[in-house]
Amino acid sequence: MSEAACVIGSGIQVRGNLSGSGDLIVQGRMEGHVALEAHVIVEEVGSVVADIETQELTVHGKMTGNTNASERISVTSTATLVGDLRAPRIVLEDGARFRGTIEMDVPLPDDI
Amino acid sequence: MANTVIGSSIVIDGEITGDEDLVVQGTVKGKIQLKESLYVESSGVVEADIETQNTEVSGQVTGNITATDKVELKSECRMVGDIKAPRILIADGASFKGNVDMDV
Repeated sequence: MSEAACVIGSGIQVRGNLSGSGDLIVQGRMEGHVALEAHVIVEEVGSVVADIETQELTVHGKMTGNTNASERISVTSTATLVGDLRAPRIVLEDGARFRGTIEMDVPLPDDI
Repeated sequence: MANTVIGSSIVIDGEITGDEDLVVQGTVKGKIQLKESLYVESSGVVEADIETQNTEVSGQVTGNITATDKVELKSECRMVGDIKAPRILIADGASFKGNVDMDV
């Protein structure tokens, strides 16, 4: 097992607010709101219905909700994600299913 | 070692349900409902009503515990609330205030 501060196993459902620091791995079900200054990983078997504020998010499983990450969001090939993403760096892999808006805080050129 | 761990830097405000073991090293407020065992470790703080099969408290619990099998209060724990279970163990050194109901 990794060094993650918090693991929600596949047989567990959490409903409510989760906050703090340290990495979070979701293999089960999480509903509500997540605020963590760390790395949030939604595993393939995991399912998340939540708004997330974090440093880094990696989605392998199913997720619905808006994410605001201060560093990076990765949506991998096995992921299904519905929601709005906002981060300086966002990776959308081949095979990922995604619906929503993406905002990378890009400075727009002056001439448009 | 259980699959699910709420680490010491984590705060959950809400409801946790499920059918596998849960280890709490951080803070949980609200409600915990499990078909398996709950371990509140020495750094863990739980302010919740708890329904499980087994509960083992080494940290702090405020709330009522209902267990279908066993509740164990370890020597360093602090627990305020009512306990209902067929088997209840309170170790020497544990702080506890509340009712005990063993269905006698």
